[in-house]
Amino acid sequence: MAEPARARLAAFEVTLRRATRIRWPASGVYGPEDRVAFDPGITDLIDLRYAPSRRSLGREPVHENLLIELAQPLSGSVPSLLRIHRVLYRAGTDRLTYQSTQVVGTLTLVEATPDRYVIDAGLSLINPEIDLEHRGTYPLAGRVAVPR
Amino acid sequence: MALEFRGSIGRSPASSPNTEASVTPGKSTLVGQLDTASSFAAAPVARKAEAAPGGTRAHLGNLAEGSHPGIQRGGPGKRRIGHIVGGKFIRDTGATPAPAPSSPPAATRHEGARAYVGTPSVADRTISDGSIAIRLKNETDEQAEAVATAISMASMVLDRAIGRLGDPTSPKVATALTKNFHSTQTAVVDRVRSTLQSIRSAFNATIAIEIEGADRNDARGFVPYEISGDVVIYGDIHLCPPWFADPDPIARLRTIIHECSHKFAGTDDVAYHWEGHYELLTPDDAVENADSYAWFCLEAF
Repeated sequence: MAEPARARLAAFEVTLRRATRIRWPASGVYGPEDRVAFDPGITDLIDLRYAPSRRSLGREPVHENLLIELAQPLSGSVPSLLRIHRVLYRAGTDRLTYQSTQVVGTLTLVEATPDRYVIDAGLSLINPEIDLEHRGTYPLAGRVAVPR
Repeated sequence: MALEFRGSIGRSPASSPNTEASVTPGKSTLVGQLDTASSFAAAPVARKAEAAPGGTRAHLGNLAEGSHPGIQRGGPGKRRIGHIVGGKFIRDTGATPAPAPSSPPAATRHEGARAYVGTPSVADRTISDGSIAIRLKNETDEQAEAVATAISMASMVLDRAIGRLGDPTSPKVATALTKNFHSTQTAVVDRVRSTLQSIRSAFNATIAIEIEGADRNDARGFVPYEISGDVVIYGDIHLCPPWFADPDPIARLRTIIHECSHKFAGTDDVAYHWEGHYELLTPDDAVENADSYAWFCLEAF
């Protein structure tokens, strides 16, 4: 599993999925074989992804995916703390090895320009539902630029 | 004797409209008739398509191992030491572990679109059913049995998927194409079919499998990979402890298809099925993605 690093979120690819929410299973938790699904929503979803190609590694790469469902649309936000509605973090290779839906920390919008939003994240994923490699609490922090 | 297998993919769709089948790939029951037992039992030792000295080899095209006329057949240390009967591996009487081959120097050679690089053959056991041969290294009898069963099942699932693509507009196939390749256009269907045929044709030769020890726990399987100049070099398929620990035979055969798509069709890991990004892949990305083929085969079954 990739080593946690204080600023490693900066290496993630970021996509803003407007008016989108995670479709949550009735059981409350995705299983390791489940594919994440989405629905139209009233707020925005920030999709952060670290997915190196195996062509650069020479082996099965570890991918990480952090989905942050905001409590309010990003377009209406001014620089301030952002409220998180829900998160889903998943990591693994051809098998899912870590999943958490609980997070502590802050998400701060520090800049909003016509091109992008700049967000500082200092998050720790806690109480993982899936933790095959006994990683436990997993910090994810860094400054990310979200294209509008 | 026919071996029937059943497996469940994912979980049952929930009743809530918010948790419909798209949360999982859908509850699927895979039922197939395999002639694994009888065919493997009657098999002669695989003497076909074994790699030339140089246990790691690669290709840039759609060639299966052994399909290149330049491959020398019958590498050192490969002989029949047992066979599969009724889904069980039976060691032949008197069979003893193959002596370790002497250690000729590492070799590298390029022949047309293919390249071979590495050290001598790693095989210490070859089992075959006459149509599928599997070369194994570091395996126990139980692991040999599990691998043989999974590869037989994967072969059958690939055959079925390729056949199903003959009618890509049928609801099941169209749904599987849409979920995994995000298109039902002819060009995409043709590409999917071509890739699956490349993978399947590799099963006509020898599939080389290396069994990893307990220190490799991050993946079910992998195919080592390197680039040498313009040549892409693939190693054998490696299966790791999580693959053997997985009780779900469907997950195990899915890994076989996934890894074979790397090795025999040069696919990448653009997005794994469990990623939220999987549904955002463009068709161009999806046809390069190993998990797309593995999941398509099962969902089209």
